Amino acid sequence: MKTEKEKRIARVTSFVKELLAAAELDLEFRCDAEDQGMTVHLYGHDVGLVLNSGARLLYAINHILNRAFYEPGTEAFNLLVDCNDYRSRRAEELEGLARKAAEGVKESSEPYLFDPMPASERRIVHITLAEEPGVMTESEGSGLERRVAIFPAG
Amino acid sequence: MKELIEMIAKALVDSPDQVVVSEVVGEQITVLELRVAQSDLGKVIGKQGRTARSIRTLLGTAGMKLRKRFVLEILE
Repeated sequence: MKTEKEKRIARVTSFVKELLAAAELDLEFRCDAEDQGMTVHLYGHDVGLVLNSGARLLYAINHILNRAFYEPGTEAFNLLVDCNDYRSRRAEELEGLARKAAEGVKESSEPYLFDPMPASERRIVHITLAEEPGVMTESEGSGLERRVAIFPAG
Repeated sequence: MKELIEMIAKALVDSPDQVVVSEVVGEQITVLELRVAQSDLGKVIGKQGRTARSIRTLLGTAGMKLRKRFVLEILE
């Protein structure tokens, strides 16, 4: 007997396969089960297309999968799309940028505004600086324009 | 790309049997017209148009590879 989670992973797997074929993208993928969901790892010839302009296509595919496999009233199922370890590389990069920007804000007492970023990336900046003395972070703007601001505090 | 829009729309809506995609092939641009049940419009458009934008991003990338331009029109 397959568990609900295994069935869901199987449905996502066949959908992703069909999606990549229909879009005629030269990509392969692997699905890994996680504690509370799954990660779809994309790899192959067209990874450049997935990651260009701030990984727009990566986030687009992730959004489509989230909406297609959203089941209200069921237990949390986090569906993440990744490509060439973009998520962890980007997290590291953002942590570095956040620390550097925070130092600048402390020195100048002027706020610093990041470029607009998706929610998951803004979250990394907020978490990185949550315990940082002398600064506070906020998100401002809406939709595609939503961005993190670092302010001097205290 | 008709199949792509069809499969995505069917996965998003409550009434997949009412998903209709027609393709209008022009010299420069191919227009994909998507029709869904009235009650499913929000599902294919999404909050602040995010779902429609995601589908268009995918369509744009696929088109770039094929050196073609695809336009998605969601008909109301």
